[in-house]
Amino acid sequence: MERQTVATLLQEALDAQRAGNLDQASDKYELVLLEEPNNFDALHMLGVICLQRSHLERAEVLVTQALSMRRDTAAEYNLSLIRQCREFSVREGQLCRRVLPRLAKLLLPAKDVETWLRSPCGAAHIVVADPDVAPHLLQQTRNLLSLARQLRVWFAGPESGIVRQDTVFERGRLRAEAVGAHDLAIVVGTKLPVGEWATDTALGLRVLLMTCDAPCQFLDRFRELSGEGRAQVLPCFSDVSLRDCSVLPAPTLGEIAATLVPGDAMAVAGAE
Amino acid sequence: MTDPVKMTECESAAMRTIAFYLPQFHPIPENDLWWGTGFTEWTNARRGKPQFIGHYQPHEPEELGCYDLREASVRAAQADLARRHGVYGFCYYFYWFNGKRLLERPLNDMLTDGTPDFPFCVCWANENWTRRWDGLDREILMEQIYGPADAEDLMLELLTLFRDRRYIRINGRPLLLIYKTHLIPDLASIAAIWRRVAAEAGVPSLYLCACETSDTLDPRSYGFDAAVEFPPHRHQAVSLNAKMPGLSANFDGIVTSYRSHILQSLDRRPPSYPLFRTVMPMWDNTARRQHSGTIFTGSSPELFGHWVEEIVTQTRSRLAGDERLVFVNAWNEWGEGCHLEPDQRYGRQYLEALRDGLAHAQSSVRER
Repeated sequence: MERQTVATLLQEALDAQRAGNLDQASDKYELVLLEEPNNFDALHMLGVICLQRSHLERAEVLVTQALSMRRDTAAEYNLSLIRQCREFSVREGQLCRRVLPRLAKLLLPAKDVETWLRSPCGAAHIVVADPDVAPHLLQQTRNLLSLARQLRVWFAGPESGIVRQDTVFERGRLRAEAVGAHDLAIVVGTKLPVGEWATDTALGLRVLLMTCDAPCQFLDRFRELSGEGRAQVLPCFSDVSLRDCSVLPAPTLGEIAATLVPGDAMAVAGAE
Repeated sequence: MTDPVKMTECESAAMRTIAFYLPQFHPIPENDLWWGTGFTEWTNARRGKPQFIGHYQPHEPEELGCYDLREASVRAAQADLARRHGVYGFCYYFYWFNGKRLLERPLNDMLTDGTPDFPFCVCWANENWTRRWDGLDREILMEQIYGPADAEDLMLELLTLFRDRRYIRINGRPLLLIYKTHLIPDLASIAAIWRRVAAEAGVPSLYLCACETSDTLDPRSYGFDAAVEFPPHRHQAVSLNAKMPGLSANFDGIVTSYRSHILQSLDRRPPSYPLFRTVMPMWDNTARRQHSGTIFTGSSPELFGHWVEEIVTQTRSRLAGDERLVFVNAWNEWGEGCHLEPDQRYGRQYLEALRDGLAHAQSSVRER
């Protein structure tokens, strides 16, 4: 890539960023960094985009790297802003952890899983709400549901809630006639919103299987999955099988709250 | 304000929770003229549209329906629901423009009928009425003019309310809130006039309270007794617009964090002046402001309940006796997506969160 091209790309990226087209801007900064990994402007402004999107960890890495190239007042200011946001993010996590026990009335008794597994007349919908979910965990989840009459896997997306994968979904929502009252939904992970489909459907059972969690995400997903308080949800850790849930007590929200640590996903994931 | 060291003698005093109450749920000729026949706050509320994927709009009422406040049964049902969930009383917005009152009927009917038997106070909403809801800012529909004679007239109008046995008092003093004190020139003189007129009419000393709707001075500096928080005013917003999925290209308002607001509230150091704390269940005024609204995302009954518990606990430790007040914004601000009243999405969950938050705070005192 010629120097002129890098300069042009940077300008286009900046224009896109100013216009609010963050995806486009991000792609262009990434292209610049492929050519010039230590390009100060690309590192700095890509860090700003990460800040805008609340991807704070990467934002800090990028802006710190930019500042290792040279000193810059604006970048230093942005780095302090990122660090403030990270601190605030941790505090929001602490807030949510304290709040989680208030969801107790929305906890589903584990015996309901046993009932469902003994009468497998419904379809199982696995909704992957974590883009980084390990394939073996997905496979493990599928295996657990071998009794299900139908098994369908969906992927949540940051832009559209649920990404359409089958005719069962229409415009991001489960069609009512395609979902039975005995169906089971397992949401794997909490990173991405599952949208309003849980609110709009009469699923028989809802399970939140955590893989990589922060308390804020957990609170939001649990709320969504309960249909904003209209249904009960069974929380599981990823190393607890659904069959185990039928004989073992599911973790309480107090236990979950004590376990969820922002930025320390593996404390919960266990199986990964 | 009570000295904290003397608080233990009053520790058992009940906490009183007062919810701001909007009376704009019945047609009036002025609104018919300015906004179209039959306009009420429901007209605003219905205009809400989702601005991003998962955005909760419009807010639609559940068990109380799209009520009309001219009906006594509605007011009774509201009071009953409020009472059973720990709301002590309502703070009605009082619209008075140099002798002309608007939206006065619910308050007048309550005084005349004697029902519901539910405590109340008023907040003088001393703003100009403009066409701001439609984005046509600065077109003034009703203007406030301030002067000594107007101050006397206002107080004479309010005296009828203060004499009602249901009127909320602090140590026998009628509680009067002023929405935007900074709009009133020479406020200290005006406050003195209010106090004099009330005293001449035999009403005990007023308890004047300034709403924190702008940069607030020590309210005692202009002759007031205390201030009351008015969230989301004073919120230091961090924009979350860039991370909202599918945000409307036309949206030029701000999406910000409800959780962040709670943290800011809990972090607030007690000021040197007497301050009543206020919590809000949610906030989203896009129904009124459309694309230029402010949306607090991430609210949930659990977060609200926790906030209530913390604020009540703080209040209990700082105030005593009749001054143990906590305000809620609001009971029924449907156009601002800010209501305790049940809606179709949450039902009574926010009311229950309030009740449980109050109970948890009370039980933690007992445990101590």
